[in-house]
Amino acid sequence: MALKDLFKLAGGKISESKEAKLYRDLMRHEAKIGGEIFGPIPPGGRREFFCLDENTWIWHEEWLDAKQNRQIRTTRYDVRPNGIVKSQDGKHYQRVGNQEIARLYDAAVLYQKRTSRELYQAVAQ
Amino acid sequence: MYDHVNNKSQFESLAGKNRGGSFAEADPARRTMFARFMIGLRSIAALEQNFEVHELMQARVREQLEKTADLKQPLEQLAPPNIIPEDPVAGLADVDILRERVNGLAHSRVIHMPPEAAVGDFDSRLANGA
Repeated sequence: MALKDLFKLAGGKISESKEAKLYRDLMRHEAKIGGEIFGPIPPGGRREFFCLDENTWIWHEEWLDAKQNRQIRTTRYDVRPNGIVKSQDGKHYQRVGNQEIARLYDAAVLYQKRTSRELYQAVAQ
Repeated sequence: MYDHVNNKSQFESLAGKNRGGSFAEADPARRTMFARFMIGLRSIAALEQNFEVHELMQARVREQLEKTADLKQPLEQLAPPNIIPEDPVAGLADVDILRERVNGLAHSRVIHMPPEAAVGDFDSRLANGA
């Protein structure tokens, strides 16, 4: 293999890595914006809400309970053709009720509007 | 409800731009941002599609319930409440109450026997030198 091809290959890999990093950074930023749409986060808490892929939404919540112990809950919503299911902390899936679907939808729309405005304005126009 | 038309038109217009080559030829950072933005739009579309499916299913259930209600209506009209009690258990309770009332009446006859008759009988016995 020619030296220039090796450089090209290495260049390609570096470029791919940069894109992957940018993708992760964008997702982190989206998660932060998503965490803000549910209102203020209690002191000591942490909230992230983001779109993992086009059929998956993640809601990560950390809070301090009455005894100041850290509690963590991660909810994964899977949008399937025959309905929406969720899994909490990696446990079994359960169907999501009507009211929760409506709330998830509202949250997702707000999320999309805010991320479009705050992150993707350059590409969304 | 989110504006489907705007969302769809925005989606199509962006997809069109991408097909046209302006984004395909853009720098990698811009392409990555666009890809991520499109995932956001598609995720909303998937939720909306699911929402519509859900609404459709709800409508079907409602329709089925209405059909069942239509079948039930003539049966209720054919069965007057005095022939077929709505609640058979309540009907049994009524029988018990009736039995208690009948027993109570029989008992009351014994207790409330007119005292005059007994006294009269007693007086007549004394008068007869019993």
